[in-house]
Amino acid sequence: MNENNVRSEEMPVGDDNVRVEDMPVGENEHASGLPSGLKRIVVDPITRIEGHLRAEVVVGDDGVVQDAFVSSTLFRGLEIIAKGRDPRNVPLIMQRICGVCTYSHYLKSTMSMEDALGITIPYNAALVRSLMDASLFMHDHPVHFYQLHGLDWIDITSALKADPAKAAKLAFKYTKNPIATGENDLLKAQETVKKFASHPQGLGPFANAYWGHSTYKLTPEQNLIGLSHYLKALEMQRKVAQMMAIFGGKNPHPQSLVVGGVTCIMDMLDPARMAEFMVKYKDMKNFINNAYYADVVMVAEMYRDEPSVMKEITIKNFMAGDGLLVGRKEYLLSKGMILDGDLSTVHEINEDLITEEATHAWYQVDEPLHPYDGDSEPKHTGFVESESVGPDGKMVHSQNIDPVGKYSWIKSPRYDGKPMEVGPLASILVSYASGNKRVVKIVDQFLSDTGLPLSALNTVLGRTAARMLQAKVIADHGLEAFDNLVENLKVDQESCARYVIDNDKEYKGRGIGEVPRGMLSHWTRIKNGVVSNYQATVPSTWNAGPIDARGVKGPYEMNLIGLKIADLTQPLEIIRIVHSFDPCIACAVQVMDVRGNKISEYKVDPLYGGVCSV
Amino acid sequence: MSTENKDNIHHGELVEVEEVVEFTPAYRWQHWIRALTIVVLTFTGFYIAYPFIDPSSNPEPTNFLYANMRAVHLAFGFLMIAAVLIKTYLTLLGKADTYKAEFVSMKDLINPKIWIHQLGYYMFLSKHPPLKGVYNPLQFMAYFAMYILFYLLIITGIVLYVHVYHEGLGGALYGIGRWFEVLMGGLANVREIHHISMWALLIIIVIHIYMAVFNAVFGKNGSMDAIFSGMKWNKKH
Amino acid sequence: MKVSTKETTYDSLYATFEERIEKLKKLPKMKEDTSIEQAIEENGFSRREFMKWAGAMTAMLSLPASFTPLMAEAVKVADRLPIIWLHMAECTGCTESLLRSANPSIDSLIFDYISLEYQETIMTAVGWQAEQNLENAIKKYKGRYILMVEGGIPNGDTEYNLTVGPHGKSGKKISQDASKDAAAIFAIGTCSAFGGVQAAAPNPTNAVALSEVTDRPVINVPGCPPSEKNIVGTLMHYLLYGTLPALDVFNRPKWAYRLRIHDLCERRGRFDAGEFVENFGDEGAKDGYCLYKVGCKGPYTFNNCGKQKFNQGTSWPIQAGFGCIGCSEPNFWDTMGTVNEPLRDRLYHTTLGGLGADATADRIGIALLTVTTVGIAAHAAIAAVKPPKK
Ligand code: HEM
Ligand code: HEM
Ligand code: NFV
Ligand code: SF4
Ligand code: SF4
Ligand code: F3S
Ligand SMILES: [Mg+2]
Repeated sequence: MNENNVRSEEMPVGDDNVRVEDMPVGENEHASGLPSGLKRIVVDPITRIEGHLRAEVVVGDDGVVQDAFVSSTLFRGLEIIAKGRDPRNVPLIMQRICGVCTYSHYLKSTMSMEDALGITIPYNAALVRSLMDASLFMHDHPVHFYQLHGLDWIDITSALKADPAKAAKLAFKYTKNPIATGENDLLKAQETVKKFASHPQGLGPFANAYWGHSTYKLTPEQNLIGLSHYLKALEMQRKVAQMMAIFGGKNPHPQSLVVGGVTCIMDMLDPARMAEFMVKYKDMKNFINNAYYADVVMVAEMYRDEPSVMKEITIKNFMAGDGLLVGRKEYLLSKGMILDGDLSTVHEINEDLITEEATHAWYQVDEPLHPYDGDSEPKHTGFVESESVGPDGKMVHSQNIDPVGKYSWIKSPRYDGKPMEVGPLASILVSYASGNKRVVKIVDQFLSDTGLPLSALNTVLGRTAARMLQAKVIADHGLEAFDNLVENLKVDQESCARYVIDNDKEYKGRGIGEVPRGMLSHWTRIKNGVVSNYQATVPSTWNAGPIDARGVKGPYEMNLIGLKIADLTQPLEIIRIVHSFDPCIACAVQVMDVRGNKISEYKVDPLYGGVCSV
Repeated sequence: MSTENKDNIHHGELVEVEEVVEFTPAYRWQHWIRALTIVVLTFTGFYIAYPFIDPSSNPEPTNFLYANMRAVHLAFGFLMIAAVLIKTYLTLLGKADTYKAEFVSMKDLINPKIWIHQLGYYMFLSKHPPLKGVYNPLQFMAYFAMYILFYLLIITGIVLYVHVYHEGLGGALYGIGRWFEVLMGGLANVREIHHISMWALLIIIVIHIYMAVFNAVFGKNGSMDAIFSGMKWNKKH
Repeated sequence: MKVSTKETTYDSLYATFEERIEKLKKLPKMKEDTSIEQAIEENGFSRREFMKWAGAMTAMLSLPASFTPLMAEAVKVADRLPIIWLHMAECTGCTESLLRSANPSIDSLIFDYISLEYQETIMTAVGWQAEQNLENAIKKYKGRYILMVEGGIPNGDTEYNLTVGPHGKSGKKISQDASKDAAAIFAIGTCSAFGGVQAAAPNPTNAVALSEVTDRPVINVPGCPPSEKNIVGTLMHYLLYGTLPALDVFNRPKWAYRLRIHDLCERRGRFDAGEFVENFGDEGAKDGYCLYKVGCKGPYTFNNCGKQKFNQGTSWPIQAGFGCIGCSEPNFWDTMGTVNEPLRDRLYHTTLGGLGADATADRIGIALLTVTTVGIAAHAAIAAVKPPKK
């Protein structure tokens, strides 16, 4: 247990980490607005994420981060747009919150409508939805590890120096059945990049990165394995997306869920399509086990002594929703909460205790107010003119976050006043602590393969590993849903429940559960046959939110504090930490207003007849 | 056709009347052709918007009900286009007295006194004003609105048509059709305008029929019959 | 007539090839400061190795060995097409769609055909370095790069609802600056082409199409997202022909958006037969009946989904039994009505302030007709009692 983590309400954050706004401003003051000895670093845009995100840190002479701020710089207002629309249109609008976790919002929004209208969907529909969900996780996590996060761990320029024959042998160290790491494969990967690099146009999308940075820890051969898998993952993501398209019509943004069930009945009843799904699933499972798993073990081996990724995380409150239905009431991932890193108790989530803070978010909340009194109208105050460390190390003019004012489009959700981390790490820990057998087995195997203790999961490396572990749980066990679907289809071909929406009634409901970046919930009210109020409470919001009214920071910001940066012009360590959360900022920026949305008020209306399409 | 005017009987006195040609046969034909096209287009249009008849007694797709409905809609659509164009031409340039009289109605239209009296008449407050042309201002406005709607229906109909048949006329009108499509903000809006115009037309027609009956019952002459027989009966002076 | 032998064919091919290379050589180089040979050597390739590689390429294209030097020559002059891809107010679905490209695959696109100078989801550089990449590319490839923009542009009072970079530049400004010197501009996705989902009523951020903020011509590649084929195809058109495609009335490439979904639909036979799915999951749904009555907007939507499909031909919305929602049309979120209802059931609640939340054109029509009839009846009743004045 770490005393630094969740702060009690009276104790403002930053007692042990000096915060900028608390600092005396005097003759020492710079043009940067900071006392001397402190420098500000701005990282904007943070690339290889979804959405528009900026991180700002204040470092001392020793390069250690004293204070950190994270800001989202785009607002779209989809929840406002949902109001007044037909309940059946809203899930498709919500889907457009994010094209990366493309299915999450579609599903949770549809579920919120069904909850509101009191609809029980057919078992077949629930299983088909679950299979689509599995394909999302199996797509999203590997793409994150290789395409988005991978180059924080893998230095592709180093890979050019590798000996492919040696690397090919090395690959067997991490798995019995390596993928795309035969000597020829590796040579080809190397040639591809070499040819690319030798062209006068240079490295294209890989140009101007922090190659050669002192915190890159893999050997040239290991980097080459990683590079080959980076390329292989590009191919695999295309294939695994086809899995979702089999039942979803397309990916991204599948289009086969309706309030009441699914529409893809022809594909569901077509044995060739079902087989296609199953085969692709197994293909991807193989990749997850023999490339993704193996590479994370390799990374864990090499980075276990790198302090910037092994620093124990400070906010050890974890919250997770249930995920991946495989049987009538059985989920692969467990729901619940862990507080203060105490794995001995899994707490139940009381949704009444979810609140929001907008003190430092660009919404019209003048004073620090309880979110029930919050206002969700935007109020953009922008940045302030200041200075920060430029690309060549000199101080340059820049627009900066005003640490005492509003500075992000993301609000700060809190549970019972506490910041919570959500995401695969939370999900894996909650499942592990709940004694979820499938998860325990896989986690234990990983710990023994790496020789790491369980506590090593409470780190940036652990967060990255947990994502892989979650993908593996789903890859290894998700087909249970498939088998149950096949079984059920023998006796039942229902795919969509019928219902009517009564214009004279008012409805409320929510859809909640685990999505790739953590626990997601959508809340809806229906009146006069149209949506009268709508909120999405989104994983990245929990993690990336700014300081709350009590001065308490959320997981992103807290994770950055105390980090030592080797080279202020190449803040790779910051990127690595931020990427470990798998930011999805379009998701995060949804106006959250839980006023009146206590779960106890969500009455389920009895199911009554009608037609699905009416 | 009876020479007795119901009106006269109603008021208990017998008046001598003379037959006057109000509408030429061609004029009456085009009226009833248009009426027929409206009825058929409305029916088939409703079906196009929401296919309410289920044709499938067998699962083979051999009974092309929707395609047939659309074919009928289009055939009558073009009939209507012809009728409307002819009528427009005749109204603007027609030589026969009736068309000239239609034109003359414009004079009544811009006369505020006639407006007031006409409104008063329908509100049972004042007498029917003396008219120079054939249509009173309200009537004129109603017919004018009808024509606006006809043209809206025709234009939107053509825009929809060019996407159904790409050869021949459809092909020739494609460019102009798509120009209108952009103007209206996409094909969905075109369809919506087409649909709403139909409703507007239907409402005006209901009023029109009532007014026709009303005028026939209470009016001074047989305009109701006129549209059937072409005759009306003016009091002999 | 002389039958052309293999040899003569190759001869003429060789000649044209040579000619093209000469022409290409005359074009200004991308980077004036480094010669290609220099760059090759710097990166550890010897001239011998390089020629070996050219030989392999020649063989791959089944050309005689005599082509090897030419091939080497061609590689030296053939530049990859520089691309700048900007993210505005978007969901990254369009980028995801790009990643699904198979022919050419995304990796071969990146490594062989284009030079992806700036693409926030894929690029490695961050922060200042990312900004430098953008600025350098605009300068270096002035007039020669393709600009692809994903996302709508917050405009007006709310322009600063999107900023990118340490200088807090607005999305509008960034896209305007990048538009100026682009060889061609593609608005990828309905957001960028027409404003998209954030521009749906009441458009809280004043989001507009890219074409509204630049005077440069913009080619729209709408869809939410557009298929990988439509994105890459538009690019390949430029790569293959060196020209821009013919456009339709909404500036969409005709090769992709010339016909309606309805014209290319596998269920069209059912439509014409009047065979419709009445409820999702019913017998008609199992038999592939037309989805018109459960809301398909294919008759009003221009796109090639039925032909190209998505995810390498895996499927498309209508195959999945849902129906088209019109995602490649301007303002489709507002003009297409309810997704699971035919267009005639489009709601007009907004105009009635929530009063008639279920008002459709038909309901309003019937209501007005009823009012009319009641009025007529009242008028007739009065007339019966009190006839109009003579
Ligand atoms: C009760 C039977 C009806 C009578 C007595 C009647 C009478 C008339 C008269 C006198 C006119 C003005 C002359 C003209 O412009 O043609 C007229 C015009 C018109 N009527 Fe009727 N009508 C009757 C029923 C209908 C019906 C059932 C429809 C359509 C469904 C219809 C559609 C029209 C139209 C579209 C005009 C156009 C105005 C114009 O072309 O100038 N009428 N009607
Ligand atoms: C009184 C005149 C007319 C009426 C009442 C009428 C009514 C309608 C209605 C209600 C629809 C269905 C719209 C929807 O989906 O909501 C329709 C569709 C259509 N109408 Fe008309 N219409 C008229 C005249 C015309 C004309 C003059 C044309 C021109 C040729 C035309 C061509 C079409 C076409 C092509 C369609 C669409 C068919 C399809 O997409 O398959 N209509 N009409
Ligand atoms: N945060 C987030 Fe999402 C996810 N997973 C959704 O709810 O990424 Ni786009
Ligand atoms: S067009 Fe659609 S998929 Fe593309 S960015 Fe916009 S919302 Fe996302
Ligand atoms: S499913 Fe849609 S696009 Fe296909 S025929 Fe029916 S209405 Fe047309
Ligand atoms: S919804 Fe979009 S994906 Fe194609 S079928 Fe319709 S245009
Ligand atoms: Mg929200």
